[in-house]
Amino acid sequence: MQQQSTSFSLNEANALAHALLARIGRDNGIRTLSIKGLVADHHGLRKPRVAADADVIVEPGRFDEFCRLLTAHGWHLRVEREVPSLLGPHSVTFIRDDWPNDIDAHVRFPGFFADDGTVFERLWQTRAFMEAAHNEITVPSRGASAVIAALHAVRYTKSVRHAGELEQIAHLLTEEFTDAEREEFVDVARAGHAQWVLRELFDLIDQPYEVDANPRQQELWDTNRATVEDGAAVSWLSMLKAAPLHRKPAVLFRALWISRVDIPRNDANRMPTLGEAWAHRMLRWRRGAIALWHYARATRRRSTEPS
Amino acid sequence: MAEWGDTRVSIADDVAWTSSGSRIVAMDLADPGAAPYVLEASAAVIWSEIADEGPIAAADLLERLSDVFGMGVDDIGGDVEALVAELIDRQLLAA
Repeated sequence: MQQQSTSFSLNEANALAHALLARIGRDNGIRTLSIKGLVADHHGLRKPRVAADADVIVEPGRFDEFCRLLTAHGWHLRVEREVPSLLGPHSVTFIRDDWPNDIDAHVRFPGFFADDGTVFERLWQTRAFMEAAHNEITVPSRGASAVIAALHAVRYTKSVRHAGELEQIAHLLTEEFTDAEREEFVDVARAGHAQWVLRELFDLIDQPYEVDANPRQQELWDTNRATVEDGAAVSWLSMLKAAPLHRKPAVLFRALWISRVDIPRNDANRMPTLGEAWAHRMLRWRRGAIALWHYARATRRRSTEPS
Repeated sequence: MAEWGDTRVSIADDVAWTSSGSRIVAMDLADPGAAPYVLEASAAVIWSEIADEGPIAAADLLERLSDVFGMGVDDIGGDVEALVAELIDRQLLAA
């Protein structure tokens, strides 16, 4: 009469994951805010689409503890070596072998240049509630969620989808947001030192903005935007430049070579075949070459722009 | 059977669940090792009736399901009881 199966969809998995994340936080007195994905859908910040992961931002002082609790619930890190990132690490990705989605636990969100605690507290002040899998979860308000969505969209310059989502946020800000929502958007961006990153949106809503990212942060942000879709090659180059002379050969070797045991994969117990390993290396080298070409072009453009 | 018919069942407090079409996916949030459990077709209908009406006496649930499925209580009673027992065992239903 009844049928049971074990497979479930990304949509189902994401809703359950957000409920689980909220529950782990609540049970352990750790403040968490579900972000992006179904939260952006709930606030009408984008056309609903299926996300590959469930994102949560965690109060920074309890982040490591929260990650340990996730591990105790069967979620684990994917096998991959740590690679440098221009904007620094901002989240940890967890997988569970019987789930189709990932969980991205954030300690910070790229584009906010204020310290992590300040950003989280300001987001927390805006908190609202919504339902996921028949459970209440805590989320940033619509205005604050729009800041997060905008920071995410402006990071990916070449993606048509992200360009469309940025347009949607611009439309909401100018046409649909209430005054209070618009004020909250501006205030969260100001508190989080994200005005310079979102300056085009500030202009759009006739709000003055301060340059709240220092020259180094601006350079990293721009370089990251120009190369983020191409992998970590530019981050490796940056690391190579910064390394002392005697360390450069080792950094260069690590940038170019990835051993079989470090090939990214979900299952730690299955070693990639030689063919899989070489295919991965070839893909990395190809992506790296493209990234360095984009980087050179962006650097040349920046150097010829009038200051 | 009469004793089981007096049992009142409802969705357990610690459960997260999704509903889409004729599918339910439910999970016990209180159990760190719990895996989502998928109910389809008639099992999903039974879950939905409990979600809508619970806490509900098993006998009343059977009456309602008999109407929904267009089958006699005696015809579906064994299967419904088995499913409800399993869901209680998995902490997805409270009794």
